[in-house]
Parts: sequence; structure tokens; C-alpha cells
Amino acid sequence: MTHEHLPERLIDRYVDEDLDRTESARIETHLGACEACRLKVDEYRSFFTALKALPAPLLPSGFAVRILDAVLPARVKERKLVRVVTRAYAGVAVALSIVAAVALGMVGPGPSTALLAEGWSRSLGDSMALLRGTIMGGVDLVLAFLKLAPLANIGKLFIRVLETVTLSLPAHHLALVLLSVSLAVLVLAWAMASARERGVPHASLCL
Amino acid sequence: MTSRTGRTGSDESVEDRELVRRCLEGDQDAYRDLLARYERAVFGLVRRMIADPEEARDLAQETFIRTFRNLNQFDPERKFSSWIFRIANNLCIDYYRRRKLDTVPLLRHSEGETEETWDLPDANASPATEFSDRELSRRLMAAVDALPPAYRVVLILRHQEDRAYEEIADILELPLGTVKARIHRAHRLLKEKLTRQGVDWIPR
Repeated sequence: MTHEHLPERLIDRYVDEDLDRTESARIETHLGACEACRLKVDEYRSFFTALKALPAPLLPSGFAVRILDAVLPARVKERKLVRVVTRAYAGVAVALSIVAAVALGMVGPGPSTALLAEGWSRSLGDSMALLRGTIMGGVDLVLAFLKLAPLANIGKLFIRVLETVTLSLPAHHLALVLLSVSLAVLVLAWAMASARERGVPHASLCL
Repeated sequence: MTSRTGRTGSDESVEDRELVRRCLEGDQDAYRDLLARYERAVFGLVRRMIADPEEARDLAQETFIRTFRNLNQFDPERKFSSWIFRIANNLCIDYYRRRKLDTVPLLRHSEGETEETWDLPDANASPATEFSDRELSRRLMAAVDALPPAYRVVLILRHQEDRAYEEIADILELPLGTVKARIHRAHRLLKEKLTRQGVDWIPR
């Protein structure tokens, strides 16, 4: 045994721990007396170390989302809810944009820069008036509900709140507010869709 | 016969069986735990077998979806790891058949793919040979990728996933002797190829 070198396949199996104790002991006896085979064993050890250290592919972000969505009943329901809410947000944004366009049409062929600037400069005072009127009307409405007021009175109060809102704002200002709101709602719908893509928990966006 | 058992610890199997049992009872956390235990291994195998990163991601996800949807068919007497790796391998074979790539060596990096998708060793790591660890890794990975899929899969299961020969034979539904012969041949092909490129395996 010491006069012949070990076959490479045997060295491979020895280093890969695929030999039983008797075979391994026989190899070790040979290695004790054969430097060339010891070097070969070292080569294989180094080779295996390099193989085991090969870079691992990085898991793509959101890898688990599609799987859990497909197999967990609760996730299937949640996915449907997110889809419905996202579409609702997009629908509201479109509706608000249409209203804003109509409102802008009421003040002329289109908002000039000066008109927009004037609208924004007056927005703070108008907004305060709007807020005050809305809160007052809202409080009246809640009180009416709490006192179980007749439906007719509740309807009147509701109309008063609407009047407060519409009278507090010039048309172009209302249009700008609506455009801002519709933009915000669109951003929210986009955020929900992209959060789902990335696998970010989106329950909070549903609320 | 085999002294090295690879990752065949009974703890792994017991925990897997317990998770499968909980999944079948409708425990959603068990699905997440089972996924977390195997997502890197399954994606790692599929990604190395399929050159296109998007296809690899889809196939790895499909592996889990099929596995989870068929958990009621899992035989608790067998290893869960063997079962899920077998599903992954079969999906890869189907992919090759669809693409008629079963005998064509695959290239790893598709166009536009960057190194960020691979966890390469630190470029400044001290070189064990005349090549740095990073360069050796790159060359070895290219050589592995150039192997025919039948050799590549045994190598990955053996050295990346640390699976025993017997489990590899079970996963691939091949005789044990065939698996051993393939592993040895893959070792020889790779080692010779890199030696020809000037890799000195013994640090001096």
C-alpha cells in the first residue's frame, strides 16, 4: 500500500467522509507514510472548503409575500381587501379631480397663475372659517343625534354644515383644496399598491 | 458505510414534522416558520440551477406554493427537506424541458445582473492562494455554473446544503452509486479546471 499512491477517487471519498472506519483507518495508515498522498488530501480539503464557501444567492425582497398570499386563507382575504381599498382610493381621487375641474370651470377658462396665487394667499383665513363652521355644524349634528332629535332637524343641520363649507370658500379655492386632496388620495393608493409589492405589512393603510 | 451524515440530524426532521402538523391544523405561524427554515436553501438551489433570476424566483416560490398546498400528502416517515428539494428539482427539470436546455451548460450572470445579487466574499479578504478569496470564488462559481445540470445539482446539495449522499439519492430518485459517481466526477472536473487556471489549492 505504501508503494502505490492512493487512487484519487478514494482520496475524494475519504475527505468527503464517505468511508467507513475500517477504510478510513487504512487510508490514514497510508497517509502516515506517503507525503504525496497527504498533499493530495490537503488539496481536496482546500477545494471542499472553497466549494462550501461559494457565495449564496441573496433572497429577493418580498420573496415570501407571493407564497403566503397564495396559501394562507387570511392573506387571501387581506389581499382582496387591499385591492378593494386601493381601487376605492383611486376612485375617490378621480371623483375629486372631476369636481375640482368643474369648480375651476366656474371661475373661468382656467386658473391663471395670479388666480392660484391669490387663492393660496387667502387660503389660511378661509380654511380657518371653514374649519370653524364645520366643527360647529358637526357638534350640532352630534348633539342632535345624541338627543335623538327628529330626522327633519338632523337633515336641516346637515344642510347647514354643507352651506358653511361651500359659502366659506370661493370656487377656485375649493378647487385647489379638492385637487390637493385628490393628489393625497392618489399618493395613498400608490403607497398601498407599492407596499404590497414590497411585502410591507399594509394593514395600517387599510384603516 | 457512510460515516458522514450531512444535515440529517433528527432534530431537524422532528421540528419539520411538528411544523407540518401545525400547518395542517391551520396554524398560520407554522407556515411562516416552515418558509423561514427553507426559503434560503430552496431559493439557493433553484437560483444556481436557473440562470434567469426572475425565473428562479418564480420557480422557488412555486416550489413552496406546491409544497404547502400538498402538505396533506407529506409522508411523516420521510424527511421534509428531501420532499421540498425534490419538488424544487422537478420544477427545474420541467423548466429545462420547456426551454430545451437540459444538455446546455448555463451561464450564471444574465445580462444586466450585478454582483449585488450574490453574497460574494469581502474583496479585501486575505488570499489563501495566488488568487484572492473573491477571485477564487468567482472562478469556482463560473466553473460550477458551466457544469451540466445533473452534476451541478448534486454538488449544490452536497456542499451548499450539506446533504448526505443518501438524502441526495432520495431527492433525485437515483441509485446511491449513481449519486456518488456524479459527485466524484463533478469534483474532478471542477478541480482540474481550476488547477489549469493556475489555482494552487495548498496555501504556501
